[in-house]
Amino acid sequence: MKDIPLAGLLQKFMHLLDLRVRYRIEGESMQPVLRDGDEVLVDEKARVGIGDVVIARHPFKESVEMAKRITAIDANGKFFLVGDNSDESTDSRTFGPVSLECIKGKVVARLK
Amino acid sequence: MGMFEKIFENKEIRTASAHCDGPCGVYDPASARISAEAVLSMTKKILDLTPPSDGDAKAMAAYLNTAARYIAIKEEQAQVAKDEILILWTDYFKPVHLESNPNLHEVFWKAAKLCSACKVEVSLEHANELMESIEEIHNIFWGTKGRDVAYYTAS
Repeated sequence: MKDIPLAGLLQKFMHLLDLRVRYRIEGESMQPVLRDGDEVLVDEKARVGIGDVVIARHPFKESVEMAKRITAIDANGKFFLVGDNSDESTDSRTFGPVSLECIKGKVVARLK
Repeated sequence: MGMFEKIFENKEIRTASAHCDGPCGVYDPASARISAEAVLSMTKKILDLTPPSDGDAKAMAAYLNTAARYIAIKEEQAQVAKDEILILWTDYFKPVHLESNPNLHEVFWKAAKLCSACKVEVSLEHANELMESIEEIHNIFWGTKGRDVAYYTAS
């Protein structure tokens, strides 16, 4: 499982320029890589692929954005998202694969 | 506080949900403790029963009824306690918890076996040991959450 690197000066600078969006993680479904209360920087323009941790909009709940990992991309280009801590995660195993428009961005760095 | 942190303060922070939709994040050893207390209480009540004198059919019927009810509750609550313990063991606890509690499996295995023993037997000793095991689980559980939750019993 790919770790999320600690934000260096470059990522912080990108954040100041609003090229990185800051998210706070709530919940334990991305343990041990991300814990409850962690803050991350997200690149909304990044290309995403298998293994990346992404912020995605819940397909059935407009207002909910989630942090999950892409574990597969199906033949129709839909993304299968799973929490690293799969016992405590609601993800594509429940709501199915999500389309690219649900993916808000790639988690590129951790702030703390 | 560094320059970046100061500027960061005014930046918007969005929230990313990373939990479970279901109530599966809600765990508390209290549910196992309540059932185990019922088992202990029923065990005491069964042991305190005095059979009626010979020939009193009505008293015998009442005695059997009372005993049967105590036994049924003990059986049922021992199974509930076991189910609750197994849920904590297999759903809540993660490999990371084993690092800080290397005896975790031993504690849970013993507690589950004590539930079975209390169900089968009328043993005050095993019912008390079950309560001790659950106190141990309580301490391990709240320890993993970094919370100091005092153990208590209802009875």
